[in-house]
Parts: sequence; structure tokens; C-alpha cells
Amino acid sequence: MRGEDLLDEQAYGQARTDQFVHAQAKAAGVSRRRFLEFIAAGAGVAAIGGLRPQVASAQAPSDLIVKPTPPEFFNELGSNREMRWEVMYSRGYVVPNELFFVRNHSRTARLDAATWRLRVEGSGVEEPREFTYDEILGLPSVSVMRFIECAGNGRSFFEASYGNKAQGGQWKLGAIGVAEWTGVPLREVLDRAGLRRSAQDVMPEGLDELKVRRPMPIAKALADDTLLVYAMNGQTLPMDHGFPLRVLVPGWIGVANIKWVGRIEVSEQPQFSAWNTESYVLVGPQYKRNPPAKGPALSLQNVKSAFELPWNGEVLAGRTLLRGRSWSGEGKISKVEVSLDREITWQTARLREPNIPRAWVRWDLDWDAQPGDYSLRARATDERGTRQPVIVPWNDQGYLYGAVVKHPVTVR
Amino acid sequence: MTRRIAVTVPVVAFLAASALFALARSGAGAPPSVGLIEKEFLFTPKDVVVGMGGVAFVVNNQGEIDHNFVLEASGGKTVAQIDTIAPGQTGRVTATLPPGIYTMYCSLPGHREAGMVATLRVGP
Ligand SMILES: [Cu+2]
Repeated sequence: MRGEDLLDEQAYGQARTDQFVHAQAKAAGVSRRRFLEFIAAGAGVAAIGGLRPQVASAQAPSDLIVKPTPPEFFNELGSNREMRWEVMYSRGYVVPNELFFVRNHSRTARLDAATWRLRVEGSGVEEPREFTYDEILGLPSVSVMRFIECAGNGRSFFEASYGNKAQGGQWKLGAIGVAEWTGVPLREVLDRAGLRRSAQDVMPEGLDELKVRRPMPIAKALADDTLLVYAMNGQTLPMDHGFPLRVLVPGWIGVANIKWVGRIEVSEQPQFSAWNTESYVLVGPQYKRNPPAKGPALSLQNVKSAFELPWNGEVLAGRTLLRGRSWSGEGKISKVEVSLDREITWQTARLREPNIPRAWVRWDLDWDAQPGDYSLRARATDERGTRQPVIVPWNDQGYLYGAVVKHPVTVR
Repeated sequence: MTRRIAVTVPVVAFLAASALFALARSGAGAPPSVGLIEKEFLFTPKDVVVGMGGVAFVVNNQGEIDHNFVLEASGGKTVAQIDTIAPGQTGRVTATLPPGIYTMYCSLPGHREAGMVATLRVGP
């Protein structure tokens, strides 16, 4: 260190980075010797491997999820992991990859980018063709901030409103995350397969055990921000989030954002799968059957809000800054109101930049918290004027719970 | 719970080997029972034969995710079902069946296509 010229910006920056990384490694319990090996190995990979991601093979194939999901970050819901909202209080705009919720229909697929292919075919394209991973990486790409949210996020609150549980995982509000997604506009890939003007539906299909697939109309497939994603928050897309390639369908329900995509069927006919006829449809007294679907198929997510607080947790008495986030599948959030007194009065929260459509907005409110039990409420209004309602109609599978949620906290 | 599974498994193991008859009298007057194991994404056994009349289905989820159980007659009519069977749990349902060929499957999206389906033959 002493021999380095720390007035040179680059050397200074490098030295600071090394110090920082070393401190991080030390904090994580890595010895100096291991740290040096780690640095050497990392440098080697960077030099030899270039941009090609390494396929991890150490995990037992039976594990449902590959990444660690410790209970301080996640609630476990069967094969799924829900983000604990309190972890976002000390974070920035995006949800880091290690904190991002996981919703799998089966188990995380373990794919090798070297042998993986994307096949584009069907009556809607002139020249069905395959793409390799490197070919996808070589296409024009963009980065966008968007949320991905499970259609069932908030499902547990149907029980609070109606007295019985809706079918499916009993999420609170942590089945959502915002990330910076980098990838190729789906349009670029469809064009290269000779997209016909008569194409009507586009159905991406996963390489998971269930081949999860769900169609979208051609207009949505051609949108500027509908992407084939290979990077998440500046890192190679993690296995649990769809490595090597996933679909991003902004504003739409989570299941539309097919992970581990291996095939895209483009059709001149409307397409159907179990995920838009049997599930991810609205079934209930207020909804009509819509053959071959059991009810209206879901597309856009609705308006929701969440506090960055533990569920049923504790807050210290005194002046505090209440924080939360609100989002909508339809666009930007224009207003957020908070009630500390069970909806007797509402206060307008301050919105903090950035406020990105189909991602979320962070907001805060000063609170001089007095000891007692509270049921906090937040309600957002999006730019189309849709405000979160008091109650939403029942549906059997518990989708789109967009009503105002009663968040219990105790001030001590 | 553990005891019930202990009774079911040997029956199923035998069935898996023979892919045939599934009769286990659980007591005087009780209907014969068919034991089935569900796992990602398989039904064991794949082929079951019983006599006509009352049949008790004992369905054990040995997998890691939720499954369910649907018994469908050859015309496509659902004659019995168990809504959700959580991992490690056992579901039960009884049906009175005329002779015929039936399909047993898990109706969660994609599960049947992935292999969670079996045939039930009800003999005269
Ligand atoms: Cu199943």
C-alpha cells in the first residue's frame, strides 16, 4: 500500500476496493489466505471465462431452490420464499438478488448455457430458428427497472376479509421485487425468426419439469420493455430467477415472466395452457366462465402498498420515519396516503425519486410513535386514478388482493 | 400419521412391483383400499385393478410440493377428488365405482402431463 501513489485516482480506487473487499471477506469469516486464493481464482475466471457464466453443479438436484434463503430474509411457503419487508428498510430502490422472492412451480431448473437453446417456432413465424446463448448475448439489449410480482401476492388477506382461505400459498405482501433487468427485446428475436403480420399470440415455455407456459398477445410481445432477460441487477441471471434466460412482461402477473425459457411458440391462433385456463384465472361468484378457461384470465397486476416493517413486529417509541413502497401494473404511482388511526384520518406520504412506472415508488412519513398496538394502513393511487379499495371480490384461487392491508405493529 | 403411512407403503411397493391388484381389507365391512404415492412428478403405481363397489383411496404425498387427487370416469366425469395434499400428508376419499376404466391424476397445472397420472381398472 505504502509504495502505491494514492494521489493517482485509479490506484487509489483500486486500493480502496481491495480494502473493502478484504474487509467484507473478513467479516464473512474468510481467512486472508482463502481471500487471496479467492481473488486469484476470480481473476483467472475473468480472464479465461470472459463473460460466459459458470454453471454451478454442487447443488443436489433435489433442492427446490439453489440460493440460500435464510429465515431473516425470507418466509418459507412450501417450495416458495417470500421476502420479508423489513429487510428493505435499509436498502435502495432495487431488491438485491439474494433477497428477491422465489416462486417456483416445481424446482429450480439447472441448465447449462453451453448446451441451452432457444427455439422460436409456430404458425406465426416464417423461419423457425434456434438461438444459442452467445447469439442472444450478441443482440441489441436494454436495461429497465420493473417489478415482478406473483399474482397471488397478498393472498392470505382474503382469509382476513372473508373468513376462509383462498387456494394456494398464503403470501402476505412479499411476493414482489423490483430489479434492473437487462436483456434483448423479445421483438428483436421474433423479427429474426420472420414474424408474420398475422401472428396473434406468443407463448414462451420454460425448461422446468412442468414446462410452464403462458401466452401473451402479440402487442404485448412487441412492447419496448418486453424482454428476454439474461442479467439481473448487473449480475448474470441467477438460477432461481431463470438462468440462462427468462421473459420480462412488465406489469403482468408473475407467471407470465417465464423462467428458464427454451421455446417460444408464435401462433396465428389464440393459445391456451393450463396457466391461463385452469389457474391464473378468476373463479368466483362475481366472475363468469370463459371457455376454455374457468374464468377471466389475469394479465395486469393491480395497485398495492407495503410498509418496510416486520409483520406484527415492534417499533421503538419516539420520532421515527415510517417507510414503504407502492406499485401498480398500470403505470406510475401518483399518491400514497397512510392512516395511523385505523382509517379515521389519512396523511399524504412523501414520494421519493425515482418513481418508475411498473416498478415502484418509495415513500415515507414522520411518525411520533406512542406506545400501543397499531394497525397501519397505506393506500396508493396510480396515474390512471385507480386507488386501492377497502375490499376486493372473492376469487377461489386468491389472486390480485389489492385492497388496503391492515399491518399490525406494536410500539414500545 | 406415521402409522398410516407404514401400512400404506408396503401395499404400494407390492403394487409397484406387480402393477396389479390393490386389495387390502382394513376390517370387516370396510371397503378395500387403494394406496397411492404422489411425488414430483409421478404416481405410483401406474396401473391399479380393483373389484367393483366401494373403494377407499389413500393418497400419500411423498414429494416436496403440494399435489391433489382426481378420479375421473372414462367419459371425463370427476367421481372423487382430494383438494390439496401437502408434502408428507395423506389424503383419503371413498367412492362407489361401477366396472370400467378410470383415470387418477393430479390436476395442478402441468402435473398430469409431467407424469402424475395412473389408470384404475374396476372389474366386475
Ligand atoms: Cu401434483
